[in-house]
Amino acid sequence: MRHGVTGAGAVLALAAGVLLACASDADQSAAPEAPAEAQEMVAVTGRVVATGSDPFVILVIVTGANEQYELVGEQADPLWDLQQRQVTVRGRIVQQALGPGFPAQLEVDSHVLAGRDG
Amino acid sequence: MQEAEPPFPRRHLTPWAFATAFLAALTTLALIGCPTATPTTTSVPAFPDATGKLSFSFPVDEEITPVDLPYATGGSGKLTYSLHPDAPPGLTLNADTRELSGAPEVEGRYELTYRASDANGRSDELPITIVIDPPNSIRSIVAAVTVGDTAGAVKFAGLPEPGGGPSVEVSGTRVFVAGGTVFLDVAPEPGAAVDKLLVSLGAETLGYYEVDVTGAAAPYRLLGQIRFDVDPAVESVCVAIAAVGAGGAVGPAAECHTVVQGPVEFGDVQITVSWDSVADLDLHVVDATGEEIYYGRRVARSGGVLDFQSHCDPPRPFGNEHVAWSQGTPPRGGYVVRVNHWENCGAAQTNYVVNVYNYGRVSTFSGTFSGAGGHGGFGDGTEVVRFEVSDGPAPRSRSISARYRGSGDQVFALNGAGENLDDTVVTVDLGDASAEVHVIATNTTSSERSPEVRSLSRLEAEAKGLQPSAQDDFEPAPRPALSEPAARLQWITEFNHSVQLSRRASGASAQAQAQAQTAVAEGDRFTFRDLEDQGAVEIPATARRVVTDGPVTAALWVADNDWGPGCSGAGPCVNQQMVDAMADRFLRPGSGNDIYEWVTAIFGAPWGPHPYSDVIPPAAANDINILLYDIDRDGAPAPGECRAVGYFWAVHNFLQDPDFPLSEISSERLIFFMDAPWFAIPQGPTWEVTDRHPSGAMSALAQELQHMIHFYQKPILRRTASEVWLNEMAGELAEDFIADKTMVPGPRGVAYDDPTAGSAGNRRGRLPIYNLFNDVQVTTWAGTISNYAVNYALGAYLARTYGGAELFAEIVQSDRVGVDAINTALHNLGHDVTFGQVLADWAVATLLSDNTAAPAPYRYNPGTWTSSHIDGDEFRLGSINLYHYRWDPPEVVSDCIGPDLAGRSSQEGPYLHSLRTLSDRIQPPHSNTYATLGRRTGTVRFLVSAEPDNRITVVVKE
Repeated sequence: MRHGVTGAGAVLALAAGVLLACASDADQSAAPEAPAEAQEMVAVTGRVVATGSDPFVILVIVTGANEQYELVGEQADPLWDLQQRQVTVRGRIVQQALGPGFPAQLEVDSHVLAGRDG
Repeated sequence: MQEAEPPFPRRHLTPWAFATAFLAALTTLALIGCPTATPTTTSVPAFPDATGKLSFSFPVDEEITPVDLPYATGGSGKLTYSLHPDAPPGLTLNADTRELSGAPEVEGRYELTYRASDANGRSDELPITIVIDPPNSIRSIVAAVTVGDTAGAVKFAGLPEPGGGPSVEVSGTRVFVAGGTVFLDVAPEPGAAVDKLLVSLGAETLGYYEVDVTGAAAPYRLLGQIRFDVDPAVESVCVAIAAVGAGGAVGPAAECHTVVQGPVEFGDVQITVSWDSVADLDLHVVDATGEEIYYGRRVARSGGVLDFQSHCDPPRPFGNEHVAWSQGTPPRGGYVVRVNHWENCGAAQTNYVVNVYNYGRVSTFSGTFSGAGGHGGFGDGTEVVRFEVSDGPAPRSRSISARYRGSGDQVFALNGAGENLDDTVVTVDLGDASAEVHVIATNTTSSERSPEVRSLSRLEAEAKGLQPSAQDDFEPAPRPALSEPAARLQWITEFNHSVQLSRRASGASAQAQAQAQTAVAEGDRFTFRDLEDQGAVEIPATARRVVTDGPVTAALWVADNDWGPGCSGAGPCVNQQMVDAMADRFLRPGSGNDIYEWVTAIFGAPWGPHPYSDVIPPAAANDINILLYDIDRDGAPAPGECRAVGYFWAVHNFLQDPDFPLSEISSERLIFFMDAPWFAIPQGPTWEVTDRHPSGAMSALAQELQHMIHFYQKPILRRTASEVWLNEMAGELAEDFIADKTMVPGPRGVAYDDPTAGSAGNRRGRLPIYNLFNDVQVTTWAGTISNYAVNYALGAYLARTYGGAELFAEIVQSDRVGVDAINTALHNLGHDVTFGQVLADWAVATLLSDNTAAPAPYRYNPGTWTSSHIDGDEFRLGSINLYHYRWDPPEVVSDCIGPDLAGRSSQEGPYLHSLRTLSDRIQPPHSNTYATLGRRTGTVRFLVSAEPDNRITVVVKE
């Protein structure tokens, strides 16, 4: 199993971003803002999928409104095993979107399965 | 994309020949009754037919074990129950629940009427006898004593004093259970004439039974019927029997014959069997749901439990077995009781008595076995009685029977409509035919819910202390673990946040867009960038060939250190012949003659109009770039090693932006990358484009171009996620669609011009790995070589079954993602099937891929081309027979197949679990898991529990 991101927390803390309504449509001109610690905790519910093409694969949560967030951080590792499942993820936005296929990054703090999938 | 090096030469297998056509048959057994609590009919209330009389006896002044009296059905409105003229003092009947409870206060015999009345005053009645005995009555333990057809009468007194009558010796049952029968043989002293036997339980119990044995032959066989509600606190009873001689003289009581109580549970429905020898009899009770409770399956889903068993046990002869619904309400419907003579254990003859307790009504049946006993299990035994329970919940589970027609291959979908299987017994009747029986578990979603499949014969063997048969207990060959993929993603993410690159003004500008994508001429130089674990590395390269076809241009770049004879890279080195060969296959003037045209015809344009300002402009759509360099700087592969043969990375479609360090990698053009050493490996002394490695690279061009297209068609054009598993499946199919056009084997691994499934022992392509890891989940991605293999296998099945290139055009050029994209594409092409069913059918097709006559939708291998057309181009797909593919352990530890290869043998054909390991190893989410019960004859049975999102399919192969 690919576990995408480890040990990046300290580095991620230096990066910054803003919570956007639609990650894939993020305004690319927005400058990085406050460090991660200062970002508000957000909760996102959606389906966890791996996107891209190998070997450039990222783990993404896609909401019912097609908002997408890349799931990063050590706490995102277990989510690789929950692909295609409905999950609620809590965490902080640490990087804004680069653009289509490169959504905003959400550093995962915790997650729960959102009921029975299927 | 990754490729693995086959390590060993081919070996050959003899292909199996199989017959034609299929039939699906599904027979269900479900017994359904009518609810009684709130009847909806207007019929008259009626007590259902039942055997046994309604008769109870309770000791006075003791709280009785509450008893549910029988229920009635029919009537109008709610039924109420009553006793007439009245219940014995101290006892109360609950009019709604029918529960009789309390502590009787007055001894006596009460002949009453039990009545069920509906809202309109209509009713049905049953006679009921309630006897209130003195305290500690013998009848509180023994309901009746008989010799032959003669029943004893209770005398509430102590045994008479001996007066010179005959003495007797007593032998027989040493263990009794509630509701069971005690067998006692009473032998009078030689020559003595006996008129009566007096049976007591010692001084602690009041009264004795007096049985007239006049005319009966000695020794006397005495049967004692134990009450079903006997106090479980009674650990044992001391049976003392005296004889009354012909002249009325009472003999001395025989020495106390101790009988110990075996613990069982009380229930509204109970069945016992008791017998009189050392033999091993088995009680089988089939409940209203069709579940059979017996030694091989002691607990039913309905709550029925076989809670007492006896085996071949000479030290403790005279056995008992007992079934009770002690853990739930017995379901309404028909019940069947059978007794099976498993083994005589040396007994010449065995007599048995079956007692049935059905809501207070007790009925008794008897029989005799002789001979050795026939062993046996599920479904065996002599039927003793059928009875009806008309209350309780509707049946939930069921049995499923499938009868093989005797020849050919046959498929049985056990829950094809998504039914819940609840520990269901599946019976496959093969008759006299010899056939392979396989079981497929399909997870139609990605849920964690896994089916459970257990061999019934294995459970039976374990229950009898026997070794399971080899067919039930075989251990499939171990499989190596899949290696963790390279940590490239980690480098990327860390780089994105930490690497300091030259910074420009924030945001991409129109000017930058305009500057991107300048025309490339042969000889142009450019320094590309790649990421490695130490960060960005620079790759100086030169455009070695630029080709044009109409508006489209392809520039082939080669890293300078991989170029020319004696290049400084790890080698082998790329030369002009190679570049020209690649260019010629990828893009050439004319129509319908190159990879670019074929792949874009199916999957769509790689770039074009879009609303974004931070990606390369739409005008770049016709300028394709390919860079050949040593990906990962690892040179040529050793046998068994994996290699990244090529890749597409969408970051190159972005304009550089200092706010996003990752974008600084971008070459700001449409580009994908190919591994130079792999492409340059010659098969012989000289390099030919048809050699194995270059031809594989040619095939990979189609895959990487498809990824480029996928990125545009999904995230850019339609703002949807690009799920990796679907993207990679489409990439594999891009190779498959053009294999015969580019004259390469492609992922199928069969000669490009061979429409058949090739020959046995094939080690090429993706499918040997699919055979080895055919239970990997399709809709997730772990980056292992098995993901490519399984996704190709599914894509190949889809394309060969549901429209080929047209289907994949619909899938990729769609605003739907993942499974939804496939479902929508199938619907748009007029196929009434959904992804879950596709998965189940695909698994069947896998097992039947050696059958060229297999019907749709199980046809992987029609024996010829499967064709589809788009824009005038024909796309042909060759046949696939999974039994032709062989995987051999690599000679060296591979970086894509794990190192735990010890003991691992080759894998020929699909990997099949045993039922045991299937249950052990179903680790969700999987897509399909395969188990085999081997080649069998006669009847095969197993247990299945599966929720609706798990489909269970049985495949019988001749």
